[in-house]
Amino acid sequence: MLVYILRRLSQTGLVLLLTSMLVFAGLFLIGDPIEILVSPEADQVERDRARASLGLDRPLWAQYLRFLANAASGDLGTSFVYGRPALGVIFERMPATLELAFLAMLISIAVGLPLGLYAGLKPDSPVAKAIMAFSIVGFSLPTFWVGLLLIMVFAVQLGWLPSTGRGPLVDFMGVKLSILHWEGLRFALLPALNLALFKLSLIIRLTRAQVRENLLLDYVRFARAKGLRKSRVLGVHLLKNIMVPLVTVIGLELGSVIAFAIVTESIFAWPGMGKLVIDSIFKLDRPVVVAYLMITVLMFIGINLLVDIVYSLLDPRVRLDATEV
Amino acid sequence: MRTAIKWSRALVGSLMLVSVGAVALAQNLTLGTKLEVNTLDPHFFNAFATGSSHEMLYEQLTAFDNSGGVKPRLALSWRTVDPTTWEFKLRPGVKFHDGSPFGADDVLATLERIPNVPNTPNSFAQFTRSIVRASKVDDLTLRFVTRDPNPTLPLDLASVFIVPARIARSASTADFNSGKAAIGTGAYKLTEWVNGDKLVATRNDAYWGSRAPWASVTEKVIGKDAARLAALLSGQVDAIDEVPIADMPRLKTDARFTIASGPMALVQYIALDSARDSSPFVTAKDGSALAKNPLKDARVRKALSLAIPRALIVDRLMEGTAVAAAGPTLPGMPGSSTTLKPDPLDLPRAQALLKEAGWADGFKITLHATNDRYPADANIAQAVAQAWTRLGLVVAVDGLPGSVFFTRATKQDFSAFSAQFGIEEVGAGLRALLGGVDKERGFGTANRVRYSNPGIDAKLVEALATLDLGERARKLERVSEAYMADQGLIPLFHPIGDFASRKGLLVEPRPQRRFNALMIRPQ
Repeated sequence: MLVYILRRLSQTGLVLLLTSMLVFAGLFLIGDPIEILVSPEADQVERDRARASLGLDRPLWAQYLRFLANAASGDLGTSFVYGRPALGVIFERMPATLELAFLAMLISIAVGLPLGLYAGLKPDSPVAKAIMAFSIVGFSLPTFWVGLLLIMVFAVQLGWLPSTGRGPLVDFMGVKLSILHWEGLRFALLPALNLALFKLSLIIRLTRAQVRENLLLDYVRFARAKGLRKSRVLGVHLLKNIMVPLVTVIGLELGSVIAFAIVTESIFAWPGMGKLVIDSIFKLDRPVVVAYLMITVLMFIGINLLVDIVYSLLDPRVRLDATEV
Repeated sequence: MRTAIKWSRALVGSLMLVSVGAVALAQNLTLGTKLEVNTLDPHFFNAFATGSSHEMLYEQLTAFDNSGGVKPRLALSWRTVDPTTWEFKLRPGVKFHDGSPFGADDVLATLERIPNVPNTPNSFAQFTRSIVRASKVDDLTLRFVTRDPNPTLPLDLASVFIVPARIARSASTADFNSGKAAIGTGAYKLTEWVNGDKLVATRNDAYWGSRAPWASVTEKVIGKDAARLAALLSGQVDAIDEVPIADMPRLKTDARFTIASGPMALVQYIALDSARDSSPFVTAKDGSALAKNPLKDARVRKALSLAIPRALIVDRLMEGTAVAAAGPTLPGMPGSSTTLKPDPLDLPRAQALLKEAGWADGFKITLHATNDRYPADANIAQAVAQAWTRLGLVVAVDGLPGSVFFTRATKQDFSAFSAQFGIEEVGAGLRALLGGVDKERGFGTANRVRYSNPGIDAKLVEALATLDLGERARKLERVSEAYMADQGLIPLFHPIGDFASRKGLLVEPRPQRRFNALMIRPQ
C-alpha cells in the first residue's frame, strides 16, 4: 500500500508541472494584464512602471522559470490585482467554498442514498416513479436557472431565506466558518441546494441501479435464507456492495463541486474560490489562476487516491498493486 | 390572573423591543453593489471600486462636485502664488479615527508614500507626479511646486486620500487590509471587511462635518445583476447600483422602490482607424484590398456618424438609460462644447458625403466590440453595423471578451471598434483619447487607433497650459469642437447611472462611478 501511495504521489509532480506550463502559456495568449488593470488615462511612464513591478516586462520563458524557482519554496506568485501572495488570496476564500461543498455533498448523500434505496427496493410504487422523474429533472435543469428560480421563490416571493451572501462567521480552530450555527446555515441552504441538485439526481439513479442489480444476486437470497433480518441484509450487506461505484462517483463529484462551484457562487454572491478564479481569469490575474489550478489538480489527485484506498478497504478482493492478471 | 399579567407584560415588552428594533434598524444601511473593492489601502489600486468605498473612510484635500469641478474637503481654500506654485490652506479641528489631529505633516507623508507603494497595478502616482516639491508653511498651510504649470492640481488631488503621517511612514498594504492601519478622517469608521463579500462601517461621531445619517453601513458585493436585483426585491439590501436595463420598467411601476438616475461622465464611442494607409478589416466589397483607406477621409467618418440612429439606440437598446452624445465629454463640464449637438440620423447627407469622397460604391468593414464588459455592448455594435449596412456598406461584427479585446485594440488589430471611456476632466480626457500619441508629452495614452491631427493637438497643448480656468475651459470647448468636426471618433451616447432604493431613501447620483453611503439619505 505504501509503495502504491508513493508511486501515485510521484506522478502528481509531473501533472502539476504540465498544468502550470499550460496555464502560463494559455493566459499569456489571451491578453495583456496591464491593459485591464492600468487605467486608460495613465501615461506610458505609469504603464512601464506597472509592467516592471509585476514582472511582465521579461520574456515568457524567463517569467516561467522565475515562477518555478519560487514554487520550489512554496511561493506561487503575487496576485496582480491584490498585491498579496496568490496562495494567501485563495486560502482566504477556501473555507467558504469548502463549507458550501461539504453541505452540498451532505444533502445529496443524506437525501440521495435513502431515496435511491427506496426506488430500488420498490421500483413499481408511485413514490419510486416520482423519485426517478425528479432525478431526471434534477440533472437536466441548468444550475444557473435553478439558482435564480430558488432565489425568486424562497427569497423574493416567500421571504423565508436570504437571497445572497454568506452568513455571520464563527471562528473554528482558526478557520472562519458560517455553517456552524443556524443563522449562517440559512444563508448557505439555497446555494447548497443549488449545488446539490445534480449530485442528488446522480446518486439516486446510481443507487437505484446498484440496488436493482444486487438484489438479484445469490448472496442476498442466501442471507435471507440464513435468517438475517431484512434491515441487516439491506443496511449491512447490500449497502457495502453498492458502495464501490458510489464512492467513485462521490469522489469525482466532490472534486468538481469544490473546484467548479463557479456558477452557484456567482449567482448567490458566495465569496468562495470559484468566484475568485472566474474574476481572475477575466482580469488576467495569472498568478491566482495558476495557483488555483495547481491546487485543483492536487485536490483531484488526492481525492482519487483516497477513493482508491477506500476501495481496497471496502472490497477485500481489490489489490491496489496487482500486477498479475 | 397572574398568567394574564405575565402574558400582557411579555406582549408589551416585546412590542417595545420591536419598535426600538425598528428604529435602530432604520439607522442601518445595507447596499448591494457591483463594485468589488479589493483592498483597504487607499493608495494601492486606482479603480472605481476603491474610489467608491474608500470615500467613506478616508478623505482628500478636495472632492469632486457634480459638474466637473472640485469643492473643499480637507483643504479650505487654494490659490496659485505663481504659475508653478500652489498654496493650500487646510481645515482646522479635524481628527483621524484614532483621535490624532490632522495637519500638514499628514499630507506630506501621504504624498511621499504614494509613489512607493509596492506592486500597485494602477498607482496613484499619476496624480502626484506633477508636484516636484511639497513643503509646509505652518501646520495648516502647504505649498506645492509643480514642474510645469498645472492649473488642474486641485482636480488631481481629489483622488488622493490622506492617511496619518505615522501610518504613511510605516504601514504596508497588508496592514491596511487587516484593518490595523485603515485610519482616515472620513464620516465612517471601518468595522469589518471580508474580501469579496462585504464592508461594514460605523458612524464616526467625531467627524468634522455634518452628522452622517447612518449608524452603520454594510456594503455587500453582488456581482450578478439578477442576484443584486433579487436582493433588493427581497428586502435584503436597501439600495443597489447598476439596475439591469431590462428590469427598469418593472421597477418604475413598483411602489415599494424609487429609482434615481444621473448622467455619468462616460462616453460610448466608436474609434476608426484613420492613421494607416491600409487597415486590416477594411476591404472592397468582394474582399480584395483597397488602394487607399476610406477611414482616412474625414467626410467618410462623418458619413458613418450620420448614419447611426442614436435616438433609437438610446430608446430601444438602452431603454432610456443613456443620452445621445455630441462629443466625448459630458455637457456641462468645463471645457465641454456648449454648441455641439449629437449628429442626427441623416442617411441622404451621409450618402452624399460618401459619394463626394469617392466611395459611392461603399466598402467592407468589420466592427469589433466587447461582449461582456458594458451594458448592451454587443447589441450596440450590431445596431451600428445594421445602420452602416443601410448606408450601403457590407459590415461584419465581432464580439470579444474584454480580456482579449483590449490587448488587441492596443496592438491596432482592429479597424473600427466600440468601447467606453470615462472622462472626469475635459483637458486630460481629450489629451488621452484624441491627442496624437506622444510618449514624452503623455498624449494619446487611450488613443488606441492612433488618430492624429497635429493642428488641433497644438491648440490642445495651448489650452492645457492656460492658467486661468475660465479661459482654459473656453479654449477646450473650441478644441472639442475641432476634434468633432474632424470626427476623431464617433460619440454614441453618455450612459445614465441608475440606482434603485426602497421607498424612504434618497439616492444622489454622481457623474463618477461611485456607490456609497455618502450618496444616500433618508427622505
